[in-house]
Amino acid sequence: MPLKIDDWGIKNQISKHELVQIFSKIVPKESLLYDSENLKPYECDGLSVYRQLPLMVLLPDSIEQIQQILRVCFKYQIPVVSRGAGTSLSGGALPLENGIVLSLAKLNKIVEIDKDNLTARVQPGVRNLAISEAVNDDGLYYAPDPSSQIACSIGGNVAENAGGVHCLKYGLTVHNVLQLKVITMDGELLEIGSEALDSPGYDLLALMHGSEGMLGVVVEVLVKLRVKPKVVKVLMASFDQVNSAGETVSEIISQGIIPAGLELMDKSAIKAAEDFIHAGYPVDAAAILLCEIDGSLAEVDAQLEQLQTIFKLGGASDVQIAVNEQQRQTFWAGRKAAFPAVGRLSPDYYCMDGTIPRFQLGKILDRIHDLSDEYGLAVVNVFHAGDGNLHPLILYDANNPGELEKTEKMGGEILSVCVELGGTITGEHGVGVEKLDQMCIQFNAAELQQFLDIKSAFDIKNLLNPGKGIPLLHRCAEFGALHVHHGQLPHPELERF
Amino acid sequence: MSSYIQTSHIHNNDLTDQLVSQVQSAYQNRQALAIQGNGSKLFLIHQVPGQRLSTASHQGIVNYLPSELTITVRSGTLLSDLKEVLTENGQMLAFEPPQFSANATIGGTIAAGLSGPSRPFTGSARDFVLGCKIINGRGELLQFGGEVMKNVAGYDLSRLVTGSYGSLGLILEVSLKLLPLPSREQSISFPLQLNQFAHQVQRLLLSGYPITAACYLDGQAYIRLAGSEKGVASSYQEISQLLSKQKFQPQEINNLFWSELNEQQLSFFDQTQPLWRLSLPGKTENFERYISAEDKQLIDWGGALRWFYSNQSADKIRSDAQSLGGHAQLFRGNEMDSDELKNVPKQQPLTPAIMKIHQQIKRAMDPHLILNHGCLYPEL
Repeated sequence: MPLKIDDWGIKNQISKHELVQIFSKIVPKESLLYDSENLKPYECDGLSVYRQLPLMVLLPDSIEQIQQILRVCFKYQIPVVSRGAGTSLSGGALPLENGIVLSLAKLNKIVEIDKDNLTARVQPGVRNLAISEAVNDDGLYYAPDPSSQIACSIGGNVAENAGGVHCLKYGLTVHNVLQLKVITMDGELLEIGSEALDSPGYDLLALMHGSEGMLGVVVEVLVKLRVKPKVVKVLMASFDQVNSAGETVSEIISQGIIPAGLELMDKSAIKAAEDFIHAGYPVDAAAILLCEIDGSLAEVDAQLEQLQTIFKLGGASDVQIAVNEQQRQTFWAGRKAAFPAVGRLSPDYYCMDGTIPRFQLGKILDRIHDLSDEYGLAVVNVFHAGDGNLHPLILYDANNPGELEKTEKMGGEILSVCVELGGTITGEHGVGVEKLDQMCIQFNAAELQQFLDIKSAFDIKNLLNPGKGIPLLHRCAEFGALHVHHGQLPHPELERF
Repeated sequence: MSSYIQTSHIHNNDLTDQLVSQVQSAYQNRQALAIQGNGSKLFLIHQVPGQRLSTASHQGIVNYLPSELTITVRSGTLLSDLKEVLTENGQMLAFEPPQFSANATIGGTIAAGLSGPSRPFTGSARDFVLGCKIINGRGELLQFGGEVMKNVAGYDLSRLVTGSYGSLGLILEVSLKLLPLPSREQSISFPLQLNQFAHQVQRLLLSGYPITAACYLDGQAYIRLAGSEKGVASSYQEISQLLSKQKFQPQEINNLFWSELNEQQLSFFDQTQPLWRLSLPGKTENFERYISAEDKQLIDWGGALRWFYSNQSADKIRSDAQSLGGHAQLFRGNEMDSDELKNVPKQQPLTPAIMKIHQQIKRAMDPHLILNHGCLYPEL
């Protein structure tokens, strides 16, 4: 699949051969890969439709090595793509032809767990789930739980500001990190944030989250740990109409309940999951809501009562409460396996990641339905209903010529509708290389230029992950969606390349 | 289905065009601007040179759908009006921003980025910022983030602007995440040794109690619980019994205590020495060794925040805070000599590397340094 990467005008000032010589003095032989055979495993991330071999891959195992590598790249104008576990769904870790991949996989240690302050200091390559596993016996956990948590690394979670099922109540990565150690492109090590709850100056900690590896390389993360709730319950409510399920979500929130997790699956998602996992989902229902509540026994009991009433008044045809932990896990298993379950229905599927205000749920589902008819591509919908984050999965077959292109076009249209309905093109997967055109729809030229200026504030030569996250303005002009206010480009004095 | 809430008692006055053209002309003329709302937090920053530009008349609720748990509001809207509307709808700003004055605006609240006693338990001001509309130093009208909980399109400039005191952009609108008002709040106080405080708070947290505030003053610990009627009632009873068994003699206190703490109206705040705000790691056990006999402190945020009255030198207080992993802000000069007050930086100095990034960010947002120049640091 050919990919349009913006040309940021970066020209290497050194040959590959010379670069290998320099790097081999910084990292051991086995940590420097440059033969195409060894580079192959790094040619793509979780968005595997796009592939590109990098110039080389480096696997440093210390902060000092990373500083030295970045200084070399800064000097010779070599683009750098940082990579954690490579699970990005937007191509954030897609290599660049003239750049290196900086793998942080060897920085995979939990440095310290501070039970007094409820924090864990970890290296960026530590897997998300490994943190919770390490503190499980102390009754603690790390809250953000992206669906890839078994594999994805915490450094990547920071780069993407990863979310998950429990965001509405427990927040995103940005809400659960206290401090970062970051190396800027010129090799400077910065400590951003602290062990205290705030820091003087601008909130660089927030800015780093979701910056997709374009502002700095995260080399250490101090995360907050939370106390595991005493009681956790899951309800599953079935609805004959998707809209009633959507309205019930609003009603739950209006009644003052903030569920720990609130997921909606449509009929096709229910069927796919049930065929695959046999979680006991009602295959005749138009939609199900999975609602998890947690807290003290009294708190959970009170909410359970309230929720049953809300579901009944909202038109639920059936409400089940998981009777034990095993059933709770089973209820969730279906939802968590939704993607692989859909994978069984179709040779390929394309996962979208728009967010909308919750009350627009009915409208977006109608529009997706219409687009599905128009393009002749089936869609399965799973939805983090609590926070309005929708994951439509478009089913297609990459072996049919032109079908991927058609799928991408349809996906782009879905995201445009999300923006039109007051939402955003990406809730948690990031822009990467995938949604650059849609960035031109969501932001006007002055806003995009402001992003580019912020990037330059950290990375004057634009060497960190160029071509990801933020489109260049000429791309938007070509895409036909450059929003220019009063016909004036921002910074008319600047050269556009 | 949710419906737009009509808010008749809040003025609806959109001054966007006027404010944009004012900043544009300031940019063209390199005219420094001193941006403020009603000035209720001005005491927290250094005096800013330039022409005063107030957002106070730019008022109104732009969008509020309670079932979405979000609100978008113009910066000049009074915090008190906003809170009233939210309360009518059973919702709140969960970061409990202090007002310090009846005319505090929401724009100033976000520009200052201050959070109240609930901060360690429910989150800070920036945690609840979802989006903003600003005018940058080039006079460009920019919108970042949005009205949805999850949004990773573009850099998170909404949170960057929070707490920057208008030095990166004039805040026109903010979109905030809201939380439901708890059905019940109940507070308890008991005598405790200072060195036991953080430990005790953590024990209660580990036991799963719904704590939303914890402070320590003059030998007494104060804890607030919040949640459902039944949940809080039973937690209160359990904690109360637990403490009684340990001979701590707990007693219920009025929940108003917390707003008096937040607004600095407790008698503790009547002292005349300079008042410092020390943000430290939650379990800081060595702080007491730096305290002299005349110093007075109130510990909030379960141990992570100290209100500290002291005549010790600014440098000493700063280096002590730093050695403990935190920072110190001069919050109120009080009887500090006026010359000294002018010369003492209010904020903890930044390391050269971090300052360099700050300067570059400032120039990216405000190339001519016309927006509240020097309000936090002379370089910014």
